[in-house]
Amino acid sequence: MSLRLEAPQGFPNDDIYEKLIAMGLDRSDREARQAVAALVLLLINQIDNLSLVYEAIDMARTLPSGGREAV
Amino acid sequence: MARPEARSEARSEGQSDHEHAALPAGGRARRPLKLGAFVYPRYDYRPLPHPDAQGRYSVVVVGAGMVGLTLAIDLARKGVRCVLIDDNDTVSAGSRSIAQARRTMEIWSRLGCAEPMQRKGISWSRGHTHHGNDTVLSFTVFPEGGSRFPSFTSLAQYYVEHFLVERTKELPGLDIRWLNRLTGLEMTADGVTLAIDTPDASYRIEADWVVAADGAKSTVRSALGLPFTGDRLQDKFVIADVRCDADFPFERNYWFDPPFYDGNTVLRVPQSDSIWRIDWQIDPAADVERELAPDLVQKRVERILDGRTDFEVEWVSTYTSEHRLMDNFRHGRVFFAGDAAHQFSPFGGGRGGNSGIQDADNLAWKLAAVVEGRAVESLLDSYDHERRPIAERNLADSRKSTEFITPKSHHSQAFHDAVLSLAKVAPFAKAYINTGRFAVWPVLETSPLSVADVDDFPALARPGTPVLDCPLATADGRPTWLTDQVGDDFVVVSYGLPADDVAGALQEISIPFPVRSVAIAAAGQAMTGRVLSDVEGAFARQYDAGKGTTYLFRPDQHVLGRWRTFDPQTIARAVSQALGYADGIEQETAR
Repeated sequence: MSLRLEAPQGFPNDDIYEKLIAMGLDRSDREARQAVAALVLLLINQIDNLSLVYEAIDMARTLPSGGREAV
Repeated sequence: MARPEARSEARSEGQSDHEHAALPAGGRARRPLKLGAFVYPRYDYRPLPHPDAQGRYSVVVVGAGMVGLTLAIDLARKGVRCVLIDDNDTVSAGSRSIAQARRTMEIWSRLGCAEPMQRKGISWSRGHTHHGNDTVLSFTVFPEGGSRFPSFTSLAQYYVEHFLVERTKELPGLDIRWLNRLTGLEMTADGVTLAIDTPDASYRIEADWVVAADGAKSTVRSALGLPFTGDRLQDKFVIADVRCDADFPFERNYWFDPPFYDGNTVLRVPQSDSIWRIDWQIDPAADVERELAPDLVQKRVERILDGRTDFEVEWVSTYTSEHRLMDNFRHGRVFFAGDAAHQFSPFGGGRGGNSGIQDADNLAWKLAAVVEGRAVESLLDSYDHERRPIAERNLADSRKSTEFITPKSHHSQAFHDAVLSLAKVAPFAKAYINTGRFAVWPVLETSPLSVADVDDFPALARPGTPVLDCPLATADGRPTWLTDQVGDDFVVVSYGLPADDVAGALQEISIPFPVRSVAIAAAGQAMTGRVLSDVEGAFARQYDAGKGTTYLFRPDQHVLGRWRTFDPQTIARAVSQALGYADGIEQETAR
């Protein structure tokens, strides 16, 4: 089994994205980064297949950098 | 008499901060004289005193933009004595609201205005989003089946308003007063008095009802001291209409971090007359006058148009997004529609103009019914109940698009960057790219008028849904559309039933509003009387129709109720309750 890269049908992308952004509201940058890291760890804990986890980590690590310097 | 805090522009559907046009100076409010092939009309101002100037009117509409014109046309068609005032004498400067949604075109079709718009407008079906040098998303807007109109028609607001004004000329009962500026307003329990300035003199008129369609900076709202809650974002954009005969494909292109511009975003969308709408984001702290300087604009457009120099910048302006909403779209005898009631980011997927037209569509038949004494006044409360939840949804969706386009924090920027990077290698991430979603189909989910389903039906075409159009044919084989058959009256659409039986039964019931009957049958089914053929089976599919299925449409073409069998008393009760007669037909019959 390898990493799923296709979008599941009917996935509520905009709602999920909104919730992810809301995680950072009224928080310092450090707190927001911590929340994201905690989310990643929580989600990893739901996955039994460790090879998927390692594959995802690898992909995320080697992604081309996104955009210009952050705001 | 309450007076507005400051004069505002009656037709400010956009959120323009500054406006420049390639035109001689001296025109009112920097209106261009010509934009591409479009020559700005000057509508006739009638000097005072003219015999009709004062007096009392059923409805006064303030603001002759696309919303005010649509509403006034609908009212005039229904025979309502209506005055439309505007502080200018021409149409909007610049393209502004360019994405006319399918539902909007259907509304204008009902009003007899859509044909020239359809001829003039164009439609693009491909779109691309780029990140740097990479294309991260390409999509096709598939033509939606069952409608004569595409998902949207790209047509500049000035053309829309021009065609609407042309339509008003066919409606002698509609009194449009150009260069009439509202200066004050006084509301009592019985009516509204409006103070109006003209180039010659000031005067007052009285109205039973007033509709404020005077834009985001509504003079009416200001005069009544009503709040317009929300926020103004920091992000600034330059917007330009550029004429260029380039043979670029008719496609929408959106760039994040474009390689040809040192800014965050650029948008390029085709319009008719070889005009391209181009937006680019500028630094919030930038000197706006400098950003609009012709040499700089020229340079930027040249790069956005792949180095071409054979173009002309016809109109250029800047805007800042605002998200605002009134807490009620009705205040006593005054209603708010369009940008006067709600304001969304222009990147909201064409929500601003389109939802304003839906406001007009929703309000017109209710006002007419009350003015004509066919409905209880409380029907007018349903305008806010039905339309404000839609505005709230549009506002929420618009915020999501805006947040993706212009992230407001490091945290948000990180997700934005991650999505765009991931989208290059992982298709699922493309679905997170949000440069403006199409507005949701405006189902009136919270309508107090709708009759809840008692029979088993799928969710599609549920009560509150705007008509789902489908092709039909008359008995002699002429093609027609469902949208041509419903609207203006309450309309019973029955399937597979003898037309004369349904029509006859409806004539027997007593309702203070016209109820028409439309009979539809499966293609090939033997038909007697005036029955329309469901030539492609689209009606049966979309409405889950079998023999006896009955839909009741409102005058604004939304589904009021649906049943598996036709029962005239059920129809009578539904219509009477919709008109505000709480106890239904029995109560109404007794009146």
